[in-house]
Amino acid sequence: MYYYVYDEFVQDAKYDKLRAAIETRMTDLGISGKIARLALFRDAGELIRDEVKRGATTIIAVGNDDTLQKVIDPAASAGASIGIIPIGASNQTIAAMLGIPAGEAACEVLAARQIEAIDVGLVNKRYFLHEAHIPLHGGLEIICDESYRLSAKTGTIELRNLAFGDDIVPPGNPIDGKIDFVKRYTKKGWFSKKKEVATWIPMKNLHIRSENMIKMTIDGGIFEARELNISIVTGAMQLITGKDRIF
Amino acid sequence: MAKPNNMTIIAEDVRIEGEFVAESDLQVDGSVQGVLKTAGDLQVGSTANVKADVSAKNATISGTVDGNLLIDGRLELREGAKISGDIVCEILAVGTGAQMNGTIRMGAVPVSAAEVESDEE
Repeated sequence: MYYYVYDEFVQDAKYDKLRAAIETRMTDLGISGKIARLALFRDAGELIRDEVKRGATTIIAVGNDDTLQKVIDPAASAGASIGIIPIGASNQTIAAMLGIPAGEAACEVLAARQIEAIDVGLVNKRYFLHEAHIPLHGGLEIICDESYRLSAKTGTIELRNLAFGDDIVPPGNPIDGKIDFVKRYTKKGWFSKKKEVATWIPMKNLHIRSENMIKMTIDGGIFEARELNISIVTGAMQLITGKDRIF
Repeated sequence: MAKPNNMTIIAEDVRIEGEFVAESDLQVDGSVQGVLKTAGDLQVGSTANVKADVSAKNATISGTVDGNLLIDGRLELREGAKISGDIVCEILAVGTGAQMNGTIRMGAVPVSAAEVESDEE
């Protein structure tokens, strides 16, 4: 049984036509289901948990990456499969990485139900699907895989699970049981030409601590703690993917 | 620019202390102190400073290694390489200007570092 969670912005009149087309396509493909419309002070978590108790097995976020973030924690912890119908042009990184086309074309992918068990990162008790960033400073102590200490003076640590690759680092693979540790560095080359390089280490866990509060971003949201226990939970999330996914 | 492959990289601004084990090929341009192991090929760049016992399938070294090297196959020491430690490998190639201080044992490589130690006793 499908349960569709419409983000608040999706209910804007400019998407009326697109919403109608998507709902028609859902019916044609036999994947229609109950619809929840998010609004201010309406908690997606509570709606999803209640609906899973009533028998929903697949939760579909209708919106963008932020919508998916609202759905991931309650849906994954309730054991439901998760999908996305991307609406709107911006903030669609995760859908693109999962190979889900925008608008009503996404319904075809959902109906095909190609489900992958995806790893998720865990920072203390908070899950992340995409990536986390931690600014470096001298007071950070970083222990990796319980076997070595890593240090670098400045810059930002990127912890990548599901992420696009670029010229410097390969794509993050969310089915390999590892988090990719990335620390970029610009070095001066010949004739003052700058060259960007990166440390790239796949690892299973990290322990970071500091006397000061560590302020990090997790999938776009801010998170603060003095001690971070970061690990990967293999196959923790059942995600519907398309054939154009990056992994 | 070529797309990166899945080679583990320790860039020159990073320092590692402890036991570092890589499952894939490994490139070291930074500092490593302790133990350095990879099941794949190892490249130690000219900016690297390794104070560790090293084991790898094959290795190409252009930087400084202070520790023993146990290489299953080919070890190539390039110009600028400075090795202070014993070397065990099957094939050794030494470039002009590479420095070595330690014993060298070549031919069939023992299965493990433990075997080397027991042979020496």
